[in-house]
Amino acid sequence: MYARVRDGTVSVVGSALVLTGWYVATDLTGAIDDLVFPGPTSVFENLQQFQSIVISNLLPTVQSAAIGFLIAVVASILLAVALLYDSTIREGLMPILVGTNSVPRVTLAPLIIFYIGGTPARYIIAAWVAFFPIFLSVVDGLEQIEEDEQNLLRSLNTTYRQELRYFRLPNALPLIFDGLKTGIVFATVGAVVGEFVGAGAGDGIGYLALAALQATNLSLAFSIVGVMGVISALAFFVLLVVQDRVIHWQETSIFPE
Amino acid sequence: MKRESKTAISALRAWVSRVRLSLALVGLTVICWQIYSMFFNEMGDQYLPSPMTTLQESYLHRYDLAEGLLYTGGSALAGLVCAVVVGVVLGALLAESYYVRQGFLPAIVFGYALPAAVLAPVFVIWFGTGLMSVIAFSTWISFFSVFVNTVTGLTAAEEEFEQLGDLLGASRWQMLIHVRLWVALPFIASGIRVAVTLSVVGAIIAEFIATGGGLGGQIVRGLFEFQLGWVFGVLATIMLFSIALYKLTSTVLAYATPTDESLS
Repeated sequence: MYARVRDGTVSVVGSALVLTGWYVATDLTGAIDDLVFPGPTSVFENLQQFQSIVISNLLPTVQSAAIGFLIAVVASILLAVALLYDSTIREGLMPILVGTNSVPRVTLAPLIIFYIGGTPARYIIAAWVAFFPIFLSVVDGLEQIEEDEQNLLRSLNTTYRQELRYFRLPNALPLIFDGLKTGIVFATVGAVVGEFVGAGAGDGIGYLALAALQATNLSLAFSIVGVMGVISALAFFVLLVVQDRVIHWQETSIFPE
Repeated sequence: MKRESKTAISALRAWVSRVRLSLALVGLTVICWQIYSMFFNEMGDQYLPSPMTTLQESYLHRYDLAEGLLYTGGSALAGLVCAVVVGVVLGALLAESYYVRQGFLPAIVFGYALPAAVLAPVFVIWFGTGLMSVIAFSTWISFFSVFVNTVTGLTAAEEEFEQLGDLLGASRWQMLIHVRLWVALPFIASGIRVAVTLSVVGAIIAEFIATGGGLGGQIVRGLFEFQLGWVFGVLATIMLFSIALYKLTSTVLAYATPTDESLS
């Protein structure tokens, strides 16, 4: 308990120092020009000025990321269970899926827009980018089982479903949560990149960021980064808390490996 | 010499037998796709190019592809190298002090969770629409996995090692160089492995929005000019390049972390 309080205090003080340093270097002393690295004051003013635009562009992006993430989660769980069930499917598909994982997937975004287009393209890009880290961690997690456990299962004569429910799933949970954490960041990246290359109706945070680039408004670009960062960090944090509750028998690692 | 080529062949043979089902699946898909394009594709080769058309159009654009590969591949490689250097050095600095590490933790989580793509316009404003912003953004996007893994690895040394170091009177620097860095090496290696793909992703995202050059720019241009065969060729080039880069990095890393078989 003491360690937790100490960690929290140091983190809060550290963050306060970082923010103060930013303020001192930019707004207070003017050591760094606003045109190079905007200070908190100008970022905040920009955010206030463009408040309604930022909020209205935030919704489509968050929506695409969330829907894409959900599609990716459902698809990976279904596919992972199928792969575990049948070794021929696994042998055939796994190398392809692992290979696809090491290929830059966002490059397909323009093509998905070309063939599918409209709002569905946004969801599919986000899902496509988020799918692999989630899927691979689900498979990795469900696959690992120790020999003792295997022997125990055999002597208890368990069904496949029982094995999944009582052994493989609890074992897999830490890895699955790691995959989810990476996946939620990736889904948002997919949604934003989709907007960069023109998915949907010309709205969304990615589109707004491009507009900031065209206007070379660095402060607006910074405010967008700030807002997106806060939202993703919140989503990340929620996942951490859920993980802490679900896997209560083990300490939660913040960063996925 | 002869012996070496023999092991190469047997390694290839082992690889083929391991992935033969997948190879068959991929081959079958390509053949079906070609047959579909020849007999059933009513939208035309312009809309959904066949494998043959892709090859032909890629051949027509071979100089574009080579130039793009040079640009994008070079930027990704430069970005990867920068990310590894910056990530390991910063990670080592952070791992040295509990207070620095814990104090920066919220900022790091913020940076880690931040969808890196929204920063692309910022990089373009900073570094212009040239090669520099592509390299810089590629560095940024691949930096985090190296950095986070370095910190995790450097703080993962078991207490027995610390006690042994104390007992032997090792200095902080000696502990880092002779003990903790070696414990961290597998972690750093897996971080670099993730960074390889991300560096290509970063280069291409930056090219999408800024430079119009490189393979990322060619995808946008090819779609705009309705030359899907070219676009497919570009995608295949990117895939082959990232797989090659991944294999190359993996091989180098396997030499650096020889004892860890599970990672290879």
